[in-house]
Amino acid sequence: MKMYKKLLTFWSSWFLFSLLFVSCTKELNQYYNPKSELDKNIIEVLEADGRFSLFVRIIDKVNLRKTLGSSAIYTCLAPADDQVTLYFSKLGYNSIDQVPEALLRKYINYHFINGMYYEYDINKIYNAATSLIGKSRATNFTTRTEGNIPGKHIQLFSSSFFENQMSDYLSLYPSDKGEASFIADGVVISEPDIDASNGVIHVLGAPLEVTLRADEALAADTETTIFSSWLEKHVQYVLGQKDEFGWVDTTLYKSFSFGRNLADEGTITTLLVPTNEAIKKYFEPYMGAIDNTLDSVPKPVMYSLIRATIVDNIWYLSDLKRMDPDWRTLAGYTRMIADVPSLITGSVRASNSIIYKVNKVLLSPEMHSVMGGILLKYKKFSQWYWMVSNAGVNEGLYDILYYQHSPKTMLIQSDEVWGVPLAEDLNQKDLEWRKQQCKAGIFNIDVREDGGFRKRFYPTGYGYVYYENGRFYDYTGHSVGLVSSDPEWNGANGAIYQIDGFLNPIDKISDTLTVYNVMKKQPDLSLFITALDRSGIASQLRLTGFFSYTVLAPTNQALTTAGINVAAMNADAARAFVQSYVIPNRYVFTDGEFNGQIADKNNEMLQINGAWQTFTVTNGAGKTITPAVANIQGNNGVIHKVNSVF
Amino acid sequence: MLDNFLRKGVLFFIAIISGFILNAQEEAVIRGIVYDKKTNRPLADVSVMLVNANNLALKGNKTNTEGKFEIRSAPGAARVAFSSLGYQTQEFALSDKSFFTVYMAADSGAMDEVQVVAAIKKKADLGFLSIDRRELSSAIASVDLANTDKMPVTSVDQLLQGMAPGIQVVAASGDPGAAASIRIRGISSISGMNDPLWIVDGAEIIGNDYKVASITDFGFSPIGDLDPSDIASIDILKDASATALYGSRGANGVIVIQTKRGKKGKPKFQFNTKYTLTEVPRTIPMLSGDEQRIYYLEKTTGGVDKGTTLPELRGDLTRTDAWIFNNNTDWVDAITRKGFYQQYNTALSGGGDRLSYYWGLGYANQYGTTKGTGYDRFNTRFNLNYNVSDRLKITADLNYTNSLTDKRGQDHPITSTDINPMLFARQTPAYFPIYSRNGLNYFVDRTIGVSSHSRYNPLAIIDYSTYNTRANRFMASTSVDFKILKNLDFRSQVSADFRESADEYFLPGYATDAIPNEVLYNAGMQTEGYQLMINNNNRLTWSAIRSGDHRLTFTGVLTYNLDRDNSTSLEYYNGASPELKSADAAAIISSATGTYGTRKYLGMFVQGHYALKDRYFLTLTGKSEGDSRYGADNPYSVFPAVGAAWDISRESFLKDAEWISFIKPRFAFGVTGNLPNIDNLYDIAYGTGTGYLGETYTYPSKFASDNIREERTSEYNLGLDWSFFRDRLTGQLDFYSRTTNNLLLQERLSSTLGYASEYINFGTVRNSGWELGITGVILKGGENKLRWKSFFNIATNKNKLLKLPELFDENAFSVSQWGFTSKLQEGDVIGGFYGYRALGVYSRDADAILRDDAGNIIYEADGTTPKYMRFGSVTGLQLKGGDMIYDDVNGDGVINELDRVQIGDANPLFFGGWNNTFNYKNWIFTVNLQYQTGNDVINATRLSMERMLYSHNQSRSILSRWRRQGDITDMPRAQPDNEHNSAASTRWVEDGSYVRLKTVSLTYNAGKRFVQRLGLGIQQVGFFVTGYNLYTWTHYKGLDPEVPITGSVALFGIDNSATAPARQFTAGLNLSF
Repeated sequence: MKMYKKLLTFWSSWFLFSLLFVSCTKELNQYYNPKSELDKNIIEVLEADGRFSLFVRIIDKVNLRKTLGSSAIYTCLAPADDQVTLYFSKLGYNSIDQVPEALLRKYINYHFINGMYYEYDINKIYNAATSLIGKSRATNFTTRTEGNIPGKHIQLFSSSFFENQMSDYLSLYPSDKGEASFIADGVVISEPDIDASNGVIHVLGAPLEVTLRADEALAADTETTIFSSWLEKHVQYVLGQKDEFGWVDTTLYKSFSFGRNLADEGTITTLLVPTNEAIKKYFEPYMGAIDNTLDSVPKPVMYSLIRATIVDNIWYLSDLKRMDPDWRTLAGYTRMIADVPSLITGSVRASNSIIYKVNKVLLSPEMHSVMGGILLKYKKFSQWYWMVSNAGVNEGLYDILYYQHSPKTMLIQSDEVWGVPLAEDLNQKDLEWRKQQCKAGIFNIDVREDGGFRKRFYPTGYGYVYYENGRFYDYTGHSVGLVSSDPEWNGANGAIYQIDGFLNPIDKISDTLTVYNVMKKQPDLSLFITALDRSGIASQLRLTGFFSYTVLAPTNQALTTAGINVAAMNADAARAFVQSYVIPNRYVFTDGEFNGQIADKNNEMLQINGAWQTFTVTNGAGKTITPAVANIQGNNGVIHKVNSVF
Repeated sequence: MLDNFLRKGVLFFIAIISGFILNAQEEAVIRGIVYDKKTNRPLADVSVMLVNANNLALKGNKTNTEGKFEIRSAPGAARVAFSSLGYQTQEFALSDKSFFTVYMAADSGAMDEVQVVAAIKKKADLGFLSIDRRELSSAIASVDLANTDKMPVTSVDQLLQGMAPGIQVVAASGDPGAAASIRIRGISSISGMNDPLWIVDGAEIIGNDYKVASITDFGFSPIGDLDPSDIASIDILKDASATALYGSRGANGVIVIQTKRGKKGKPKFQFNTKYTLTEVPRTIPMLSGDEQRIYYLEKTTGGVDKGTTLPELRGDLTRTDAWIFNNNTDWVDAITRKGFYQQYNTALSGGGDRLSYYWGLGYANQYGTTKGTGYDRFNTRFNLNYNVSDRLKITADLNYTNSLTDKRGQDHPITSTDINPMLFARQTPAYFPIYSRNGLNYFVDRTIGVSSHSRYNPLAIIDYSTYNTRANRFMASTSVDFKILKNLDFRSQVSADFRESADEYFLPGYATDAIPNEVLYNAGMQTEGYQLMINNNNRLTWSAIRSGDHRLTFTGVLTYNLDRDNSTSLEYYNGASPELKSADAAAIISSATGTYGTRKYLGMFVQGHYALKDRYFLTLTGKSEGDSRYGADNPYSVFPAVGAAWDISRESFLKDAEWISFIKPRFAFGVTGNLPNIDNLYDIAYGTGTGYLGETYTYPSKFASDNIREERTSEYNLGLDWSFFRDRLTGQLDFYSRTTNNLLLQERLSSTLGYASEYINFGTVRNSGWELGITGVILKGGENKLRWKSFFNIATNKNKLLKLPELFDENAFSVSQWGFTSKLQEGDVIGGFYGYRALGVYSRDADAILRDDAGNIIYEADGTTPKYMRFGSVTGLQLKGGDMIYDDVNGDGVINELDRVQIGDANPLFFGGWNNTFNYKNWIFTVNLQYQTGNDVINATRLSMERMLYSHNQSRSILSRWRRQGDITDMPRAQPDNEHNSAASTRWVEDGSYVRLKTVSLTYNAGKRFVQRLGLGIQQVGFFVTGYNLYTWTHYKGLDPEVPITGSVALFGIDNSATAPARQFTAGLNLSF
C-alpha cells in the first residue's frame, strides 16, 4: 500500500499542477492587443507636450480631433504657441477666436502632410530615387485634402538633399539655412521625429506660412504683376463634379485655358516667369504697334508667351541646367534659343509651382518666327492677322517645338491693299483663294540671306514667282510691286515685306495646268503631243500631286527638220523617244548656273549646263539641244521648248 | 425492394404492439408476499412472472418494499415464477389459489457468479461477436459512458474525445451538427479513406465514404443521426487482429456501438432534459474602422503618400460619402450570438423473462453561435428482444431520425465564388456600416471601389439567404439467435441503413447587390440524394471443446453487404425573381450533376478461440472477401489474424502477490485491407467533348485498372492488461506497428501513351506507437467518504513513408495551400509541410545588407552600392527594414525555392485524456481533460488576418507592425506588395499543443426519502450542471488549437477559420418513473 500512497501523491500533485497551469489566454490577448509605446495619437501627443496648446485648440475648434487623431496617418508639422500667435497676428488677428473658421481649417490642414515621414524617410526617399530629376521631385509632399479643398504641395528637404543640391535650395530660399539638416518649405525643423500612433510630429522652428497657389502668388509678387495680369486674362470658371445623387456642385472653380491649370493645387508646375521689367523691355520696340500699352498686347501673343513659361512637374535650377532629361515649356524647347538658368533672378513661393523669375521674355517658337511679326503688327495688317489666326495661313511658318523654322520671306499686303471684302467676310471658296494668294507670296527662302531681292524665280507653295526690277511676276505673267526693300519686320527665320497687290497662285490640282495640257495648247508642240499619245505615258504627265516633270519639248519644226515621223512610230519606239525628253522632277532654270547630269525617263544620263534660256542639254551620244522658250510652268512640272532633237 | 422492406417492418412493428394490447386484457388478480427464508424479512424487487406451459413469459411484476405483489392473471398462464438476484428461482402451478406466501432461499452459487461477472467477465463487443475481456488478445478500448449523458454533445463522435487511448478525435468546427474527424492509429492510406468503420448493434452503417451529394460540403458525421442518449456502450477495435473480421473495411479501426435495450423488470420510464447555453466563441480581435483605415493607407501608399490615394478613407467627414467610410463595425459581433441548445429524451424500457423492450424518443434543437446556423433533430429508437423459447431469440431494432440543419451562416455552396459569412465578417472592412444610410436596409454596394467586400455584408447574406439541409435516416435491424445444439449457436441479422437528404439553397441578388447575368444574381442550388446500405450477417458459433483445461470455440460469419446511392445536384443563377427559389425559375443552370452507384460485398471469416487452463488463450482468424470494387484480376482477398494472451495472475507463482488482481500480456498480428475511395478505378472511363463543327466525340479517358487490389495493412500489437490493488489500479498498455503495403499511388506514364499517369499498387507506409490507459480508484470512498476515480490515457503514433515507386507522380499528391506544400518522399512523414524559416523582421534597412563571414559588407558590381538580401531572384525585391527575415539556407543572398525546408509536421507527438470522477454522498463531480501535443498547425486564420495583402480587415495583432527604423517586432510593415512578407514560413506555423478542461460536471441524485416525498411514481431524480470546453491551456495564437484534420491526407492540420468550439454551460434533469 505504500507504493499506492506514493502513486496517489504523485497523481494528486499532477492534477493540481495541471489546474494551476500558466494561463495562456493572457498571452493570446497580449498578442492580439499589443501594447505599443505608440499609444497616443498625434493630437494626444501634442496635447500632452504642452507647447502646442493653441494648435490643438484650433484643431478642436474646427472639429478635426477625430479626423486627424484616429482616421489616417500624417506627418504633423507642429507650431508652438508663439508661432501660431505670430502667424495670425501678421494676418491681422489678435486671437484665434477672431480668425474665420475656413482660414483656421486651411492653417491646420497645411500642417498635416499625408503619410508618415520620419527625417530618415525623407532622406531615404531622396536617396532611393534612381534619377537626378527623381531626387528633385522626391522633395515634394502634399498636405491634407478636405472635401473639395485640395491639399497643397510642400517641399521637405533633408540632409541628403543639401549635400547634393544646396544650390537648388538657395535658388528657392536665398536665406542661409545654417546648421539645419531638415527643413520644411524653408522653415527649419527644430525637433524632428516625435512618435505618435497615427504618424509622426516634427516641431517647427518658425511659423510655417500657408503658401499661396501659383496664380495667387504671382499676383502678390510686385515683380510679376504684368505676367499675373496676363494669366488672369485666361481665366475660366468650371462647375464642380456631380455627387453620388447626381447633383452638380455649383461652386465655380477657377481654371486657366492655356494648357495647364495653375489654379489646381493638384497640378504641379515649374514656371519661368518674366519680370515686369523683362516684359516691358521686350515690348518696347513694338509699343507703337500695340497702342503704347502692354494691355493691348494681343491675347494670342500673351497666350503664346505664357505657354513659353510653363514646364510641367518640378524642375529645380540644377535640373534646368543639366537638361537631362530634356525639359520643355508647353510652347517648346526654350533652351534652344536661351540659356534659361542664366536668366533666373529669383523665385516666388507657391504651393503648386516652383516659380523662377527670369529677366527676359522667353519666346515661344511662334513668337520667335515670322509669325510673331504678323501677331505683333496686328493693327497694320489686321487682315493677315486674321488669316494667320483663322485661315491656316500660319501653317509651315514655324516649328512648334524645336524653333528650327525653315527660312521664310513673306510678301504681305496692308489692310489698304487688301480692300474689301474683309477676310472674315469672304465666303469659303473666296477665302480659300485668298489664302492661296497669301501663300503665293511666302517664299521658302530668306532673301536677307540671299542678298535681298534680285532677278530670279522664287519658289512658293503655289508656283514660282519671278522677280525683276521691283516687281514680282506669277506664272500667268501678272505682276505686283514691292513697296519697300526694307523689311516691315525681321524675324529669326525670315522677314516680312510689303507688296501692293496679290499674286496668282497656281492651282495645284487643276487638270488644265498639267504639263501635258499646257503643251497640248501649244500648236508648235502638236507632233510631240502625238508622240506622247502613242507612247502611253501621256497619262503620267496629266497626273497632279506627288510627281513632277521637266519636259524638253521638241517643236514640230525640230521634229520635221530631223525627219522624225512620229506617226510611224510604234508604241515602244514612241515611248523610248518621248522618255528621252522627259526628266523626273521639276527643274526651273533661273539665275544660277546649272552644271550636272540628270537621268531622263529612259534612265539615260543627260548633261545639263547653263541658266535661264541659254542652258544646253547633251545626251549620251553627244548630241546637244538648247531651249527655244524656257520655264513654262505647269502645276506638275515645267516645260522647256527645244528646237532641235537628240 | 426498399418499399417491400419498409412495409414488412411496419407490419412487424404493428404485430408487436398488438401483442402488448392483447396481453393487457387480464382475468383475475393474484396476490401474495415474499420473504427471505433466512431472515424472514419481506423481500422487495422480487420478479413475479406468469408463464405458459412452454415457459413463455406472459406477464410480470415486482414485489414492493413490504414484499407484497399483485398481478392480474393472463389467458394461458400455467405457472407463476419468483426470481431475484442471489436467490433460487421458485415456480408454482396456478390453480384456484390466488394468494401466495413464498420464502426465497439464497443461491450461493449465483452470488459467486455475480462477483465474477462484475469483475472479470465483462465482454468486449467486436460487433459480429463478443469475447470475454479476460481472454482477449487484441487491442480494444472501451469508452466509459458514465456521466457522458451530462455533456452538451449532439453527436457520439463529440463525446469520444479523450475518452480512450489511441483515438484521435478532432472536431471539424463548433457549428451545430458539424462532424469530427477520427483517426485510429494514424494515417495508413494516401489515396483512400483513413476513417474508421462504424458498427451499430452488430450492423455496419453508412460511414465516411458516404455518397449523398447534399452533405459533402458540410462534414457529415456518419453517427450524427444517432442520439448519444440511446447508446449503451462503445468499443473501439484498434489492431488488425480485431479488425480483421471486417477485412477491407476495417483497416482504419472499427467503432462498435451497442444501443440501449430493455431489461427484465417492470416498465421504467425515463425523462431526461438538458439546456445548454453556448457562449459566443472567442474571436480574434479585429481592427476597428479607424485602425483599419490607417493600416490600409499605410499598406496602399507604402511610405509615399501624395494624398490622392483613397481619399475616402482619410476620415474627411465633410465628404458626402463619409457615412460609408467612417464606421467602427464589429462584423464578427454582428453575426454572432449566444447559442442555445435544448434536448429532451424519453425512454420507456422494461421486460420480463421473455420480452424486453426499449423505446426512446428524442428531440434536440440547437441555435449555433453564428447567426444562421442551427440544428433540429427528432429521433426515435425502438429495440425489442424476444425470447421465443430457451433456444430461439429474436431482436428487432428500428431507428428513425429526422433532422434539419440551417447552414446560412456557414460556407455557401456557390462554386464560382466563395461566399462565407464568417469569412466575410473577418474580411469586410470595419469602416463600412451595417445598415444603409436610411437605416432600413443592409448596406450592400457593389460599386465601392475601395474594397470588393462592400457587396458582402455578412449579415445581409445570412438574413437574405436560404440554406437548409433536410435529412431522414431510417435504420432497421432484426436478428434471430437459434441454439441448434447445446454447443452450436446460429445467429442471422438483416439490417438496413437508409439516409436521404436534400439541400435547398438560394441567395437573392439583392443580398450582394448583384446584377442580372452575374453568378450571384438570384443564385441557388438544389440537391437530393439517398444512400441505402443493406447488411446480412450469418454467424455460427460452435463450442467444440468445453471440458477440463481445454476450451475451443469456432465462430464463422458470412456477410453480405449492398450499398447503393443516387444523388443529383443543380446549381443555377439568374433566377427570374428573388421570390422564385428553384432551379426551374432560373435562366441559367450553371451545373447539373448526378451520381449513382452500387457496391456489393461478400465476406466470410472463421475464427477459432482456444483457452488452455483458463489462462493461455489463442485466437486464429481467417477472413476472405470479395468486393465489386476489386479489380477483375484480384476478385478476392484473404486476411489472416492471430492473437495470443496469457493470464499470468492465475499462475501459481503470483498467487501470493495480493496486490496483483490480474495481469495479462498479449500479442496479436493481423492483416486488413483498405479500399480506395476513388470512383471507377477499376473500369475504363470515357470522356466526351465537342470538336470540329460542334460534333461531340467520345474518348477513353483512363485505363481500366484490372489488377488493382486493396491496400494491405499488417499489424503487430503487443499489449499488457493489468489490475492491481484489488482492482483499484487497472490499465492497458499497447505497442503496435502497422505497415501498409500496396499503397495506391499514381505513376507517371510516357506522354506517348496518351495518359499522364495510372494507378498502381506500390509503396509502403508504417505507423507505430504506443497507447496507455490507466484507471485508478484513488479514493475508495464509502458512506460519507469521498470516492475519486481517475482515468488517464495517452497515445502516440509515428508515421513514415518507407517506399515509393521510382516514377511516383509527386504532382498527383503534392498539395499546396497558402503557399505551404506537402511532399511525399521516402523517409518522410505524411503530414509534413515545407516553407521558409522565418527569423523575425529586419529592424533597420541596414540589417538586410549582405555581409561576408567576417562581417564585411558585400557590394554590388559597382563596388559602392551595398548588396541587400533579395526575395525571389537575383533581380527580385530588395528586402529592407520592416521586411521578414528568412533563413537563407544556401547562403546565396536570395530567398527562393531553394531555401524552403520542412518546417512542420501536423501529426501530434501524443494525445489523450484525463477523466476524474468524485463521488460524495449523493453528489458526483467529474472533471475531464483532453490534450494533444507536438503537432504543428498552419495558422491560416492568422495568415489571412495578418498578411496585409488586400483591402480585407486584419487582426489587431498588426498594430505591432514595423513602422519606423529601429522598430523591433516580429510583425512586418504594411506596404503595397507584401507577398514576400506573407510567404509560407514558420511565421505561420505554431505548436498546436493544448490541454483542455473539457468537462466539469456536478450531479446530484436525490436520496430515496426525497424521492418518496415527491410521489408521482417518481423513483429517481437527478440534477446536473456541466461546463464544457471551459478552458484551454495553449500557446497557440489561433481561436482554437483543435484544428480540423479534414482535407488532404498529405497536408492537413490547417486552421482555416472554422468556428471555434465555444464554452458551454448545461443544466439538466433526469427523472425515472
